[in-house]
Amino acid sequence: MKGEDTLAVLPTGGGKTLCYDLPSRMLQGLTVVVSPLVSLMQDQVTQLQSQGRRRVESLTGQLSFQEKKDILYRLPQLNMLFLSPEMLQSERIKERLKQLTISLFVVDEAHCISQWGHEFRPDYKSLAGVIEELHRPVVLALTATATPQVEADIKELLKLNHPFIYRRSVNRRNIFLEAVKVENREEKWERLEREMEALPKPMIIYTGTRKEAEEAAAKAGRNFSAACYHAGMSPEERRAVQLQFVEGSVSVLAATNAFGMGINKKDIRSVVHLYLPPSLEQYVQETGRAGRDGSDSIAVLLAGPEEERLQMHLIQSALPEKSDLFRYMLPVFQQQIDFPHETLPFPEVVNRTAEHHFEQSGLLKNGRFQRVPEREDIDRLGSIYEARRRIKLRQFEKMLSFYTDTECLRKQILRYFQEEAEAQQNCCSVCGLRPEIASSQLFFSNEETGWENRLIQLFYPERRHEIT
Amino acid sequence: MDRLLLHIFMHMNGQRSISGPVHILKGKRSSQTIQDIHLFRLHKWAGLLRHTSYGTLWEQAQRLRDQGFIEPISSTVDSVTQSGLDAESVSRKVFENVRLSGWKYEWEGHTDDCWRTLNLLIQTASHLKAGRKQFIPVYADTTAKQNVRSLFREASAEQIAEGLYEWLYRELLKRSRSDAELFTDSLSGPDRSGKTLGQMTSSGEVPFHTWLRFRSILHDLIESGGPESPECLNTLFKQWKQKKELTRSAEKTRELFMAGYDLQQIAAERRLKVSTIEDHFVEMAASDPEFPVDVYAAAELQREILQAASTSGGRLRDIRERIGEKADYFQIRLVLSSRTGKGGTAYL
Ligand SMILES: [Zn+2]
Repeated sequence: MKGEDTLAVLPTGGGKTLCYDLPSRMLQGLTVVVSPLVSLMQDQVTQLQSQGRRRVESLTGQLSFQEKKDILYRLPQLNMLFLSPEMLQSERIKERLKQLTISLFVVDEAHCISQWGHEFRPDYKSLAGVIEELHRPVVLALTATATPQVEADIKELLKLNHPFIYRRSVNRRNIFLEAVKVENREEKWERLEREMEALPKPMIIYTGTRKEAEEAAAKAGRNFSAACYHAGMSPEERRAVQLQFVEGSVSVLAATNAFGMGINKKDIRSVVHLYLPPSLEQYVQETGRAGRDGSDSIAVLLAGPEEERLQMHLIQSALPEKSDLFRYMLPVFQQQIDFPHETLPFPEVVNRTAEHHFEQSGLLKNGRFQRVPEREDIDRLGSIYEARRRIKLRQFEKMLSFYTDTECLRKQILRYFQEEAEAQQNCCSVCGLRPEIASSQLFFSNEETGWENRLIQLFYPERRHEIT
Repeated sequence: MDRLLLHIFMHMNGQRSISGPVHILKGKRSSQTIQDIHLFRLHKWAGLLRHTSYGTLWEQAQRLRDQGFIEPISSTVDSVTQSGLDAESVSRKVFENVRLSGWKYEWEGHTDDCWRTLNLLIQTASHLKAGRKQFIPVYADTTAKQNVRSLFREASAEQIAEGLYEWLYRELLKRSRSDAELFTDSLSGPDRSGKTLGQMTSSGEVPFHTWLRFRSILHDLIESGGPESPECLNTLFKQWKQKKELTRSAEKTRELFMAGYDLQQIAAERRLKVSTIEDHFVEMAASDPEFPVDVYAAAELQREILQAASTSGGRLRDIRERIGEKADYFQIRLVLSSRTGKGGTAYL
């Protein structure tokens, strides 16, 4: 990278952080990284800090006032700052950033700027303006998946300047793809039990619900060291399970899609889907967590009518109908002076879309209503959700035809991303039989028994051979 | 968890509804709840479930109703049924036997601070002693990270490990073997990372009871802080052992406020100037998101004050000039401090 805007499409996240970590260390000044995923951002910061990088911090809405103040105070000493996009709406933060030299502005998950992307963050649309305000540093846009349409949106909406485009293929040749259509729940779970025995480990089982993740972990736990991971667990538990999976003491992990991003584990051998992801983009990302070491791996999708109904329901209910808005949003708005994030019964994405829309239309300024919202305001907002829902449904249709069609699975994926397909050995369940794939070397621990020994092992690890 | 609600409820002499124990466990900062804690001597449980959502807590309360363990007498009073009495007696021993100090160590989150700091500190010391400088840390919030960072500035990994080892060995020796193992299994080192409570629940034990035992160990560890604990942790223990939110004098004002006194009455009672008590109120509003600012400034007035503040750079006199007679300095300060204290982005 030499001082020009860049758009990098890196399907499997591998080395994504490296893309800006390296330049940030060589460049003078601050590297700003905008990312929509607060938990992922904290993971990245933690990972960098664990590699001895102390001048890295993240600024998110989850921090307390004092914590934010401390970080802003330390700003001139930092060389990398992670931000959630809403932080860039704060004048105070922008003011502080303007006083510094920003050498690189990284937009992570850049597909979020496009309404055609599988995830859409309306506040990403203000980024071009912010970049301008910050004396237009060089921009690096990163995404794991981008269809040509999304790619065009990123270039245009971020106002990239004749960007250098780096694109790695979505094709992961070392992952054998398999799709199995099941008739019902019973068949799915019966098949899963067989696959748990048959498929190589370490293994991720992606489920559609938290309850399913817990069930799958319990089933796997009979024969393997297994754990589950979902957003209903405390951050503490989630990190503990993550550590166990990465070190290998857990070999089967049943998780909702809350798991995976920012996780750096190279030897995952199999990924099983017990649910239908809402889009091919997401499917490709989740299966792509297998085989990052380049060794043979396998992805198996087990789904049927019940999974179709579940995802359809999720898509339908993720965004509110106009009637919901009139019922729940309007009355709250009419009593509040601030945009009431906490009191709305909608997911954060929905609230943020509304907030962004009202900021754009001038109804909201710095999070405060300028006048009392009326029915027409809500009606216009409702139309935005409706359009978004239609796009989501179209994306899901692609996923449906993907797993029911009799065409090569790999070919379908590549066509979706408008890449050329090449025939290969061990391609997919349409083209041929599942190959034999060995498990990675599994974790072995010479575990001490008794708390007294464990304490010695923890505090005097150098003495470990003396006690056995 | 619903059994604990029932157990606490039994101590409230049939004078409250089931929402009483819900608020106590959640640590609600209201005069009613604080009074109840003192009146019914429920310090042990105060704030213990501050991380459990109200949604979950109300669900548990509803379960008690659904099972017929409690029934409403009026809108503000529930009573325990015979089957409720029987159910309570089943787990009473567990709840009575576990030693907890919620009011001292949970109410303001000191136990979390302590656990997260210790967990990260031990993991870091252990890795460093094994010669490993890079590792994925256990979960820790900013406070815990800062604590650990500054501890390693003052002492070496060797010193920290030695101090921790001797202290923990001594403390764990005082407990049952299963308690001691519960604690050590949750710790992370280079050879193996810690287990979650769910993974450590011994067969036959209710997971929630395991969790209570774990909190009990942590409370006792904080309690043991003092001359016997590692020197490097002294400052932290001092913090964890004291209520830190307000100055001592403001704390007294808050107690009176919670007991139902108004501003004038507190000033009279404490023989202090009204302006001093106003200062305390401002302090309270800044530290307590639940502080009822609306009582002193209506929503409309709050809006005006905030708008004036955003256009005048936050200087009190300028705001006052813009607002005119509608608000006095006390109201303005109160509104502003309640805003900034919450850490809203609007003022950052
Ligand atoms: Zn194929």
